Amino acid sequence: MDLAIFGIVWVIISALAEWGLHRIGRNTMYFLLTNQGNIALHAFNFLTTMLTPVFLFVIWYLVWTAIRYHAESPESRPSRVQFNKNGLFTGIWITGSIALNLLFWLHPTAADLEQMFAAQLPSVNKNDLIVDVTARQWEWIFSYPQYHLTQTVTANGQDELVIPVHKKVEFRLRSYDPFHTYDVEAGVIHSFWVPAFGIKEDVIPGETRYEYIVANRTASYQTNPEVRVQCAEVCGPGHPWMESPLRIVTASQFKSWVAKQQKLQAAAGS
Amino acid sequence: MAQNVVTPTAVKKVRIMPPMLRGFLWAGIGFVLLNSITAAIRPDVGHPFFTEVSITIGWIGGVIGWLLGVGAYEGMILPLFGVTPRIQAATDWRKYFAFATEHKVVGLQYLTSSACAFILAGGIAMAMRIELASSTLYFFAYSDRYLSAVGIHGTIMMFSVATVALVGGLGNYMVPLMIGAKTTVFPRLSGLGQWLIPAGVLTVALSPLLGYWTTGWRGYEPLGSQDASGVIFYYLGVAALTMSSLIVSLNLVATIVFNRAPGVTWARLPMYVWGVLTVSILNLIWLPEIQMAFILRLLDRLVPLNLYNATGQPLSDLELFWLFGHPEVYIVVVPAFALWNEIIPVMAQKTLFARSWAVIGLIFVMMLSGLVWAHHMFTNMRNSEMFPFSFFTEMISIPTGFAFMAAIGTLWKSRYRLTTPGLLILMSMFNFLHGGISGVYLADPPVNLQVHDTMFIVAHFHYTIIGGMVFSWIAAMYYWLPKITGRMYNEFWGKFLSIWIFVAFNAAFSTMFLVGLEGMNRWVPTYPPYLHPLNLAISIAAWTLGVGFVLHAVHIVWAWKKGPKAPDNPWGGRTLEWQTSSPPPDHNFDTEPEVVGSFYVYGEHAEPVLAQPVKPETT
Amino acid sequence: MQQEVVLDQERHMAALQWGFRLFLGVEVIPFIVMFTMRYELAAWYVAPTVNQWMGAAEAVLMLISMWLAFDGLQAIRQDDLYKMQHRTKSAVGVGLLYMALVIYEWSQRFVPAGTRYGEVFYTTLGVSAFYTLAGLFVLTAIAIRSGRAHFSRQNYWDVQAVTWYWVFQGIAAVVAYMYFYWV
Repeated sequence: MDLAIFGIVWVIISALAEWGLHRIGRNTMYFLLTNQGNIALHAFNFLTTMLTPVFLFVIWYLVWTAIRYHAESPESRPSRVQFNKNGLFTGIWITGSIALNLLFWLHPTAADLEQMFAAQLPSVNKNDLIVDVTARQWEWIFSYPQYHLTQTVTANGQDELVIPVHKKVEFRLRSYDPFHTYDVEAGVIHSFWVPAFGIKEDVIPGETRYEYIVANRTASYQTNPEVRVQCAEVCGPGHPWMESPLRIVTASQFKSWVAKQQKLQAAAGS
Repeated sequence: MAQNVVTPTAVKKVRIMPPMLRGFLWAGIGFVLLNSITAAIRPDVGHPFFTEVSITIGWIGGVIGWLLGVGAYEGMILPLFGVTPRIQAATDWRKYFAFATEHKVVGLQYLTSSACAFILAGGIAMAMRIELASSTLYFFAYSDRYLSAVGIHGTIMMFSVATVALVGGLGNYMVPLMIGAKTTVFPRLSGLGQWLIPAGVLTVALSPLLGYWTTGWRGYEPLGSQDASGVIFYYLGVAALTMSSLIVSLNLVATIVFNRAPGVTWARLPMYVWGVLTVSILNLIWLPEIQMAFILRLLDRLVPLNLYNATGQPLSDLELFWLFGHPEVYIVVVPAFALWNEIIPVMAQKTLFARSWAVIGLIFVMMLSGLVWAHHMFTNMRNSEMFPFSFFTEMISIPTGFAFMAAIGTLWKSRYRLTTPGLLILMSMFNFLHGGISGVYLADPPVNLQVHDTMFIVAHFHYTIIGGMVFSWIAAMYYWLPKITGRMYNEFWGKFLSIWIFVAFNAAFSTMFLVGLEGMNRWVPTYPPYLHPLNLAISIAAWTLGVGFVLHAVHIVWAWKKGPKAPDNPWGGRTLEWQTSSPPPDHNFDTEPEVVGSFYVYGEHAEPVLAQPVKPETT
Repeated sequence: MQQEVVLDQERHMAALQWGFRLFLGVEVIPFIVMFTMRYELAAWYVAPTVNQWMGAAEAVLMLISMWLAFDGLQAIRQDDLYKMQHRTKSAVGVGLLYMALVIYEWSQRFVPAGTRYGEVFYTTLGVSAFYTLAGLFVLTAIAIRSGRAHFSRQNYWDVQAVTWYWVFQGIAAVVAYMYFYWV
């Protein structure tokens, strides 16, 4: 009897929750606009779908205990039903948890890592737009070696990252301080994060690291505040302000922006 | 070692000044002495009197002075050299404010230290939430103050509350009682460990005196070595606090292995003792490791070396930190798992379900916890390295689930008394489930790469630590309050305050998951304005939570002093601590208990636990 | 009843010995960390300027001191308090000589401190020297105490503990020697 009521309610609330999740589907991680972000989003949604019944099983069980099994009086009296094992329940629980975790390891983890790995192979990244990203305390410096741009800035002099939509971009991440007065190698660990990209990579002194993304729609910090370059690893008192606006633009807009930056750089005489 | 000393008879006893006062005095003397010596022998002339090196060495003198001053001088050093101390050991309330070796006294001292540290670091968290109620910097003068607050909050909470309360505190008090022992094997180690806690907490809390450090509780290099000098007190404070947990663990492991009463076999060992044993083993393995890592950081800064800068290997530091750092989270939460299955059978008066699986779960969590550290560093890894760590991280949820399985089986068709501890245990399971389920997401690298270093992570580990460990700690305080004090709390206020903190906690930290998903990173006193409404909501809930914790503390202290008298065994528990009177007599049991039955079998199969009673019939 | 007390004491002694061995086992871990760092940062490199004679002399002194302390423990097991005191004091003496040699070697900077190898050389051997200092402290304490504390065949746990510690740190020092001078 207990089993039937508990089980039926569990199935109903699980189904309701799954339906609700399906409704918000694409928005569970709020705003992602890259290939890499889609991998994360799908993994997130898959895990949510699979874990919701497990989660609700325990939550509903705790509520059920508090409602149905609570003692009316505080006196010390043994429970009516006594048992110390149940092979079926233990067996289902253990095999179930092993199966679920193996599943998660194969999908999404193994499948997604395969995709990420494939996307980072040198052979598929021959004609990328290269952006050199330098993290210093406390500033992101973006340079575009293919266009001979050493430091791109907005009209009021703030560092700015602009990339074209639907184009594979290769970020080369380094942590050092080109403006340091005597020790350009001085640097700490930063973390290159664009919330809307769904990717994060620590930038370590003495190492060069690479990230590859393709943005699949145009956006900017003005259209969504998640479109920004943000340092995610604490790097000193300036860390909270170590962020830069980001724009994802069409190919023609990108071309005119590059021309403008080149003119700006020539005018500055660098 | 004192037992071998031949004592001359009838020494004249002398009184000393209050031990803690003497501790402060000797600490000051020790600090000034060693600082001056260091300053004097430094070869370069013209350097200031206080340098980072001299302060470090002076600090060592200060801690030694403090430990000797509170009573280790009479308790350890004089006996080591074969001298019998001539001071009168206090027997009244004063014994709680001096070096002690009685395990119940040490346990209460530890609990008090931990609770004070919890209130202190919690207060710092409140200040952080005041700042985060607005998207701009308005409460702290500059972000380095805020980041220092973050670091101090995390360090104190981790090393003197989460690691300590259930091991040094309740472990010291309860483990000997639960295994039928009169005392611990190395009582002086526990006594000494307790007094390292105030030293470490004060060191960390006062670190801004040397300058605001910004690394947070993890102290990543190379930021640490170029940060303000306050980071030195962080290194040193952690050294003192980890040393405390290390020597207490040594004592507890030896006690559990050797001091069990006849009949307390491994198959009968109480769940909580299993929890403390597994945690102590984790402490013994990983605390020396992190101590060495911190010494390397300190040397890297003081000498200075180039271990962790651009020409060295910054990642080595991260690896060394997380090698300890991940076992640490299980050090925190394993005793909480054990507490669930300790308290639930008593509250339900029902046989513990699948006991051996619950124990296996604790042991496997202990072993696997050393294999998952690098999942804190997915942002530093290649895919081929992510793969195995992702595997172990996902697998560790299986033994963790055994704790849930045993609890669920025990609760099924039970008659569960929803007393305050009973309620808090269910709440702890509810909260830890959130932490555990969000952990499955984090084990998946693509999701991890998005939410790593965001408030999602902050919510995740607060769910496991506050939700899992602190809720269980409060449950255990209510559960064992009649044991420790002989008095009962007020059931209405206990439940009311538990519901209070439950609602406030979930309001604060479930919202924090959303803020993280929306793109709010960690370690920031300011954030883009679109995150303001949710952060304001979190701040209000966090403040409510903080008030709730303080009210719990007030209620427990009230019950301690003024609560109604409780019977010896109010819950009908079968473990050994309930078989003696409450509060326990000086030597715990009038006669040595001999255990003949299981602690967790109820109902008609229940046999008596003891061969004969261990307390006088009159009580 | 008498029987029970003796049993209790034996059990207590077993607990002390086991706990102390556990402590020594745990104290191996910092050395593992240091040896790992040496490999991480400098692989198997040994600086050619390192003074092999001094290193070998230190290792031999440490071995002699360990043997002296161990012989002192054997002596007290035979109830020979005088020999035990003598051996312990000699162990302290040789230990001090070892420390003096280390300090002299360091002061000469045979290994330049600013190199990869130099950094791990000085940090690891410094950690080892710290353990030696702690060992010298307890060894001295036991040498002073032995006059007052009437050690005998029945009562020598303190001597045993200190000897074990001294042997432990001696082995650590010798292993560190081989690791930094040979491989």
